[in-house]
Amino acid sequence: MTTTHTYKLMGYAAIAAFLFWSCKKDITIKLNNAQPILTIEGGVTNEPKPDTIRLSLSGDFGAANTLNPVSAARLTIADGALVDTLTEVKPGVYITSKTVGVPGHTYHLHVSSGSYSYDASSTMPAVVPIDSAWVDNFAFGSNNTRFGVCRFRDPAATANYYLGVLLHHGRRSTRVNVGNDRLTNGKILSLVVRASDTIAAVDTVQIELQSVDEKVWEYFYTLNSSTNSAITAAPGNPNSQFSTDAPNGVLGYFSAYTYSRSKDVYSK
Amino acid sequence: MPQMRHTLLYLLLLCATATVAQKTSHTISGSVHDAKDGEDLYGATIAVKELPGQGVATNAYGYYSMTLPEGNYTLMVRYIGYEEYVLPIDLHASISQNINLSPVSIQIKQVEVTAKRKDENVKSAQMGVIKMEVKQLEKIPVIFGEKDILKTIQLLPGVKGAGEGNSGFYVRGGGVDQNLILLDEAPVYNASHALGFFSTFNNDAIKDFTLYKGNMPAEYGGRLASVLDIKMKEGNDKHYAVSGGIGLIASRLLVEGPIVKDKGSFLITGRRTYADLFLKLSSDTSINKSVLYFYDLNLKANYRLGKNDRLFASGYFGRDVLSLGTDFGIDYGNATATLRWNHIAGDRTFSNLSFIYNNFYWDINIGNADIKLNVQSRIRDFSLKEDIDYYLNTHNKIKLGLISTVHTVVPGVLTSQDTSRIASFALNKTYGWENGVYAQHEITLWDKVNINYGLRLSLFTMTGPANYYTFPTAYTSDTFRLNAWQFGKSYFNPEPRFSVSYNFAKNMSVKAAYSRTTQYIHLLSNTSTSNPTDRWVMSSNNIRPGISDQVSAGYFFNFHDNMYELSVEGYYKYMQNQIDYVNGAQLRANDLIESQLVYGVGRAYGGEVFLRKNSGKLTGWISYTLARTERTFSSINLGQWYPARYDRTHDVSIVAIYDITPKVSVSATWVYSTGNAVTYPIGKYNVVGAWTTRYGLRNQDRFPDYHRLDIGATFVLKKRKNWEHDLNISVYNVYGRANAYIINFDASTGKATETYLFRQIPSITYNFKFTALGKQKQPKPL
Repeated sequence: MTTTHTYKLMGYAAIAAFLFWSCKKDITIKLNNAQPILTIEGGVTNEPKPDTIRLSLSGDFGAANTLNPVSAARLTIADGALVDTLTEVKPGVYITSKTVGVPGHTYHLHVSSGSYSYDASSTMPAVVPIDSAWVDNFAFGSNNTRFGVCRFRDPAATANYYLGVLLHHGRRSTRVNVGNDRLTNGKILSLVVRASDTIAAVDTVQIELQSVDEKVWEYFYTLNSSTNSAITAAPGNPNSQFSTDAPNGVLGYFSAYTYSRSKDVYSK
Repeated sequence: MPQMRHTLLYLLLLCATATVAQKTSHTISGSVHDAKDGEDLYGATIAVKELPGQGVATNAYGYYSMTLPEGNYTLMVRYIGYEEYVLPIDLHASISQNINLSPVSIQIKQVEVTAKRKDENVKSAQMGVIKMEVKQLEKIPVIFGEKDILKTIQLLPGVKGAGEGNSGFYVRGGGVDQNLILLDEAPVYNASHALGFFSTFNNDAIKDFTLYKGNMPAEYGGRLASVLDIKMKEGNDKHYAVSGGIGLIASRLLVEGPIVKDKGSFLITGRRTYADLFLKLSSDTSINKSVLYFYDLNLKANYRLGKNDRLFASGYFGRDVLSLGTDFGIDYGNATATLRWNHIAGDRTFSNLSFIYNNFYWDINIGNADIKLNVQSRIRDFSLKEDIDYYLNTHNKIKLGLISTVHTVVPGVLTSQDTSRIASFALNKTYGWENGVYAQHEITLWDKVNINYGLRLSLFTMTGPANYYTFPTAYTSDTFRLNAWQFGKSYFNPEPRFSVSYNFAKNMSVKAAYSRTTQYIHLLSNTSTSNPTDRWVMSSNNIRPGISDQVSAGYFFNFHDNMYELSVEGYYKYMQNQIDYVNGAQLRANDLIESQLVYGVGRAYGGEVFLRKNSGKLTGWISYTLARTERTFSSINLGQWYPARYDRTHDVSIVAIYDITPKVSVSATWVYSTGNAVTYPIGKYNVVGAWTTRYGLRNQDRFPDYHRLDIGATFVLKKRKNWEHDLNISVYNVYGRANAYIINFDASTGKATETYLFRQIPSITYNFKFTALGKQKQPKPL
């Protein structure tokens, strides 16, 4: 349904914009910025290489885009048998030394920073390989939007949750596309994978399909749907899988995931 | 139900005592019509000159009945915009008398009409009610020149619009789905076209409407916040007439006439937009293959079978079609049909039996290289309704009735053309059976106190054949099945209604009211704009019915010979079982939708001031609302009270119409309101390499204030008895205020961008009416 839903939204937006000559202008609004809180981001993959967890502080909405890394935190990732203590390699960047993800295992992340502790767990699903990938386009009037599509066979035995990320000129797009098999279990699925920037007429991209657990999928689903004040009537932070004793909560996610990546595909 | 038995007993007792008090009495009854086109006049008053303070008003079908002691009387029949009709009667036996009122012609000075206007708004026990005829709205400027009752009622106190140019509305803190919108008794589920910008009601077909802001009489039920009761015209039963209009967005045509003169009439009216014709001019195939239009068709016919029986059939069909190239298309629309039988039994009893059908559907087609599918959804009701008006005497009127409705909700059926890609499936169809029975009594005591009290009993039962769900824990679900007419969870609610007015001085009264209302069908929407595909769900084992209790009090004063009317009303409302959604709820294509909902309570309170000038060269009104609407849900904002999105502290509307000459009039509307409650960012943070907005508690901020001035002018080009035409020009948002429609925050730049829809929108509409005239005649008094 991902494709359906996206087309529908695009349809509405285009018609509304076309019919009603809406205009935009920048305005100044005084905001009540809150005390910064911790943001935790990262995950575990099934690749035999170190996994990364990043810690940073949130900032004022209008502040410069500089990351405020959080150092000197204590992080562990455990899967029941193995406990891996992470080491800080750069300010706010912590890596594992021995964890290699195994599909089916549940990983627990524990962070203690300042006087608070933060906990999350995530279960790694099996790999779902991409069968084919291509660049498609949607034209309306003079606008032509290009996006990636990857096709794969959904495993029928389990409920599956997918994230799609586009790699554009080798850089990861910051847009995370979501899909699941709620209405399409066991079918051949096509996931639309949009970029955060514009794909040119002659361009090379790769598509990464991640298999994630339900909670992580829900984080990204709500990140896309509820943080956009232009779409939702009641914007809010994405649903967090963390539990914490910090009074103002915590932002971010922890994902144990597997992934498959397409070969280079070319837009036309 | 001892409570109910007591109430009924009391009611009977009251009737009995009233009857005992009668001397030899006789009844005069009949109906009141427009002399020109035979339309029934609803709310015309019949007063007795010799008995001040005694009188009755006609019901929705123009019927009246008045029982008086034997004697000679002079009846004075009045209706706004019509010449008073004086009828001497010699009441020594019961008589039947139909009355025709002539519309005041434009040459007569308007002041004379006003002097005759009754102070019904002051005297009646009913409060929080506004009745208007569509004719009164014709000169008010509106966007795109499309006259629209749903936009006009937003200019009244206690009614707030859902957004720029939107026909959705909120009444005293109730949601958009908490308004019962009735078109000739048939509920209309989606009352808007073009994603909310136009209402489904073509003004040409509408005679009048009554809006009850919560204190509705017991005869209405099924929604918490308000009832908007819209009546279609009957059609001219004297002459054939054709009228219409050509506007910027749409054109309209109406044909009406007698089926058999003075016995029956018909009316057909249609409206279609033609914005899509401009799309065809584009050379771009993606645009010129797009379709975008809506149409409405209203049909009505009535026929008198004899003196005491009359049949009505009315129907509405409307459809919106939007399609984007060949990739995407949606069409949606309402159909309603009402069959009615009016019967006069004896000279005091008026009965109406209605069979009502309504259907709202949407249908989405997607066809591209990748996926071809179709999704359909529907909500359909069949109702049977009986109402009886019993006119005991000039002081007592009793109304009894019942309604039984079967609701069918088809949330979605997906048909896939390529089942290897996506399977065809159907979401669970659900059925509900809703019943209501009521009794209400209007009584006048000591000529100064009017009381309208009643009780409505409502019963809702979920039924099959359908599957339903239970949720033993937050993450698991169980299914159970109900077969056809096998009943599941039922809800029974007594809904007392009470209102009283005390006419303590001439043209002055105080009123108080209490009402409880319930609602068994709910609309789920989590988008900021109205969407025809928002999902309706019925009460079930998981969703409890909404319950609202409202108390209100007010002061009513008419002055300067009823030229001005002033009302001040205050209300407090408490709403139980209100619905919201878990964050990130999946409302679409989800059979387990009930697991995505959270329940809370709401409260709304406020004050409303309404000053209206009814006659003279300058007419119009000023309305002011001071209001608060809050909700609390355990899972939102830490369980604290927070403002609803449509909570606005101040709302002001000023409407002015000035008749410069009988042929030229100008009008202006100015509106101001505090911005909606919204959630603004409280910071930003970095995930997946991008800056993302951080939010705090819900609805703690405010949109910028909204204000706008619209102006209009109407030029009557020619006005003869058989041929008239006029030109209407208007400008929406004259001073071009950029009112925020959406404010978007971009975390990567830290900037806020406002989207606004309309600066100045000029429009022009040409209207005409042609009548094939014959002779008119007033029935002679007996």
